[in-house]
Amino acid sequence: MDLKTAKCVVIITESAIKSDVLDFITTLGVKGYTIDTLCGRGERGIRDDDALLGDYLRNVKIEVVTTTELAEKIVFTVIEQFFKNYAGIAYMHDVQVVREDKFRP
Amino acid sequence: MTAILEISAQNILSPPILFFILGLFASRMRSDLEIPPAVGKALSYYLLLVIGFKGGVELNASELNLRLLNSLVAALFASAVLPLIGYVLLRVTARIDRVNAAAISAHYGSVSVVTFVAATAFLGLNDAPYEGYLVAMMALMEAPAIIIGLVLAKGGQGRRIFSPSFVREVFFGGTLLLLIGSFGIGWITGGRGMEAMAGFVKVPFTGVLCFFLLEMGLLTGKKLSDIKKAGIHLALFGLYMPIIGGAVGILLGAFVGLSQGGTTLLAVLCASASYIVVPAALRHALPEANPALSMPLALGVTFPFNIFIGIPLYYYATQKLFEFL
Repeated sequence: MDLKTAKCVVIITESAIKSDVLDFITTLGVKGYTIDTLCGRGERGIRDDDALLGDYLRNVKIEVVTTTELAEKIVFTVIEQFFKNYAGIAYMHDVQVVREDKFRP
Repeated sequence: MTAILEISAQNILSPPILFFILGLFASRMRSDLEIPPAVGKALSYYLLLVIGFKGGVELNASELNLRLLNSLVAALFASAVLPLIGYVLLRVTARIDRVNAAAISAHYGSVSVVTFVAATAFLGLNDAPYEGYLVAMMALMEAPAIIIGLVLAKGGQGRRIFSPSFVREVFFGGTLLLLIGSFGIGWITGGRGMEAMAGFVKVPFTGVLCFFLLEMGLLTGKKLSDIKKAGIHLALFGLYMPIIGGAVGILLGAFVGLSQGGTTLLAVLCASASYIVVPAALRHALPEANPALSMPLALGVTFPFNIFIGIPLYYYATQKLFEFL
């Protein structure tokens, strides 16, 4: 088996819009993703982990491994669609995968 | 005058408030004292469960009458009117832009459950009973405030308010669902239910409240530093708006015929500002609003004001009004 190059898209944004972002990337053709909850700091201040005040103050990290074509589409459209009023960043990097078919849209 | 000082001193020297001060102190001293997030959340769920359940049990024991209906209408009315007052004040005194003024005023029409719980503990210390359905009134005071706030922000622009995620957040959010659910369970099971649950809901209550207020103190301490960014006019709003709200609550409570304890609690509900349900809902419905303005205000200014000064003040004012009546 060979290693093939695919793209990993990373979207870090407010938990408040987690389901909206997931719905959106699903309509673009994403079949699978991994989510983590975390905190951090950006131009909109510290996003902390006070679970007491509800999850909307936290950040989520959504990772999608897919083809270069779809990855670029996700990064550009997610930024355009969501990050005017919500905190967030989206970027992509290369990853080596074995089962390339698994990550095609 | 000595009476109100006595009431205040008694309030401040109660264990829950002293633990709140301890939390504030620890946070200001940058102590590493920290309640794990999951524990904090569990404690808040415990308080919601108990306060809902107790309210339901008490409603079961009392008869359903017109006063109950009037009280519920009064709660809806207060929650809708307070944002309007707040909005005008913010626009005039603090010169806040339309969207943020609407967002902040929605926080003030809604309620803080923790302030309510602290007030019930205060009434307990003073042997002042209150109507069980105050809990139901509290539950009704979220939605009108948020809807009025959105209308104020969006005006005639006719954007869609009721998106599915907004409805889920406002009507089926964990906090409200647990509160209403426990209220319903208390109502259905009544005295029998209370007997079965007594060991869980009665004895540990004050202790858990202390633990929770310790956590609130730590949180409030963190938010205090953000107030400087919000500015003096906003900080002042966080102090006088609860007094206006408290006055509205006392008048409404007396008008619909609540008891002295019940009127005090309605005043506390009107005076308190939401920092959980409203900000979460507005994040969906009004993303242009800046949470960095409303959160420090509701949590860093109004919450401690009500805990230290507001609750005894509304209790005292209610007492005076009832003597007069």
